[in-house]
Amino acid sequence: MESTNRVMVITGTSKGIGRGMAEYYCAKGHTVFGCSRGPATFEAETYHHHQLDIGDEKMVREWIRSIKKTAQRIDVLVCNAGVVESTLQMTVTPGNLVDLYLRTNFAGTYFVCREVAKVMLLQRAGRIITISSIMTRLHEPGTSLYSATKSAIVEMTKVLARELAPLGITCNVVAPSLILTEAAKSFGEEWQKHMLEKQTLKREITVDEICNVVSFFASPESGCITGEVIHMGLVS
Amino acid sequence: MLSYEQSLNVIQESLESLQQAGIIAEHISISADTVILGAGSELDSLGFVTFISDLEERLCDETNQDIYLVLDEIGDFNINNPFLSAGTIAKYIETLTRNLEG
Repeated sequence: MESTNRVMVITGTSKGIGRGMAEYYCAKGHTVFGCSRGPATFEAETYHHHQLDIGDEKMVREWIRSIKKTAQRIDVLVCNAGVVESTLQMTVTPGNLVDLYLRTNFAGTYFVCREVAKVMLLQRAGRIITISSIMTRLHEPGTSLYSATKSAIVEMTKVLARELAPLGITCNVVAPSLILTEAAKSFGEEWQKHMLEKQTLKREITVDEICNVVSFFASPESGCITGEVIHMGLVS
Repeated sequence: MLSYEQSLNVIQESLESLQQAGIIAEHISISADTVILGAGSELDSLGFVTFISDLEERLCDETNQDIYLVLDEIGDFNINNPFLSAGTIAKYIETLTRNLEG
């Protein structure tokens, strides 16, 4: 993504991949509007944080509209926010976790994409990038909710890609492999080792590597790439 | 609050801006019965979603309020057989902006 001062919206920026991406793009001179349930965990001159629950449709609508009022446009959306909790097998997964995953990982992504797409379709330009996971290809026990919602994001992004293609708006998916976020660390070293064995590349990936793929999709030169999924670290 | 007539005018302005932007090929001069969504509409699906986003933005500017157009809030709207006329949308806008004052 060569040009500077693009207006980016990145969800889930208080920790993990989202925070790393927000810091990365602010350092590159872009304006980043981020969000999380909690307060900002870092500061940058071009970073604007908003506290919200992305599963709350009304809060999302108001947030995106406020960004439009402030910045006049949105060039790039990176839908990263999501929950990674529990590796319980399906037969013992509590019902409230089903609601949590559907609300945050899927509905939250859906609402943010929908509202940003409304801004982009009037601009007749924009880049939408959603974050899925290689888990959707591994069918790993204990990931029934996580993988199902991440698969839903892939399908939603592909449909949106077709809907918005005539307006020059592209929609693509980045599916990272293991990255040592706080959430991944909380599952323990045994689990991390197991995941690395499943991957084609037997190492963790970095935020900078994810940003490299995001930048490729976000680049003005990538206008002919839409509805694609890049799996990182896995031959899928 | 926007009256029914004013609401129709905003709809007309929105459609004209879409024509200027090349999203609609022909000029549409609306009446209450002009079909906006459904059989007989001049708008294709892309034209319709752009129209709704544009209209929402115009209404915000016009009223200086945060307005969100939600299709299933429109009386008689059937999501399985969607049909909207300019008059139906104008009535909805009239009600929506009246409720903002309350």
